[in-house]
Amino acid sequence: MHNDISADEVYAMWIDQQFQEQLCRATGALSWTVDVDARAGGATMRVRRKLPTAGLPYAIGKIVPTGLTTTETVAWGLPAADGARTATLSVDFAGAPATMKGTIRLLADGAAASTVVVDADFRVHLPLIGARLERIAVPIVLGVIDTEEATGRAWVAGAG
Amino acid sequence: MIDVSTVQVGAELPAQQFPIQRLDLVRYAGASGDFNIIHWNERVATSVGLPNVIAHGMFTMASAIRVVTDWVGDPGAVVEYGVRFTRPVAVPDPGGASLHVAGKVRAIRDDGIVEIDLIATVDGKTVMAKARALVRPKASS
Repeated sequence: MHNDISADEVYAMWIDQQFQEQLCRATGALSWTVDVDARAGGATMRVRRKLPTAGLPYAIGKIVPTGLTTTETVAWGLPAADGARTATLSVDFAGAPATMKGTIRLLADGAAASTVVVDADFRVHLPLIGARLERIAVPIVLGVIDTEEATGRAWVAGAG
Repeated sequence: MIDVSTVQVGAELPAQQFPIQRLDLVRYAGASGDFNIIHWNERVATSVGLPNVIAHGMFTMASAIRVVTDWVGDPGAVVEYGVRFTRPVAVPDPGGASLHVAGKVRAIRDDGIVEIDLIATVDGKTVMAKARALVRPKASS
């Protein structure tokens, strides 16, 4: 996704507790906890969301009948000279045999624009039906990224 | 169906207007499984700073490519398609939104792949930038 603000500004938004809570609201979480541990030069963020199961496809709802709680952990490293940063991303799906792991790269496109690249591998660890469930989940995972992008734009517009 | 041998760089694809109503978003949510609340709940959408309920990015993207698939006559001919979302498509109720999509042949590669640029706007404002599709039309027999 592409941003009309600098990499530093995107980073500041991302590790803002209130922005993360806004993302939880925007993705329809029923409840959430956000922990941001910002240190000099980096930050680790842990966001736990309890998600409604009402809208989940039947095949997924069947394996998480009591609901789905996700814990997203993002650990940002030190910035490069131009503000670019890389984070490790890990999402745990409590009660479901699924994992998501990857990286988020925040790239500087000059001083006033930036790009965020999410490169993650979503796996459902179940024999026989795992691959099918992964395919079912693809538009849902993309939808969360789409929602977070739109919410980020609205956040920037509202602050500016 | 187009005849590949007659396609020229700069040719314009027939533009189309796609009305988007809340019902379309509900249908897309059901078809895709993407029930993110900002696509159907105006109270939540506006509370997080959005202008209204907004269309799914993938739905907007999928609607726009129909200008290409209708032109080439074969959805399977699209071998690559990418966009940058620049502005959310607000879908108020009543009213909805109207997505206007125009396309132009940007280049024809040596291997026959046709590069098409799409311009997608709502109320004259661009909602997707760098929208480009690569098409490999079937060779006409």
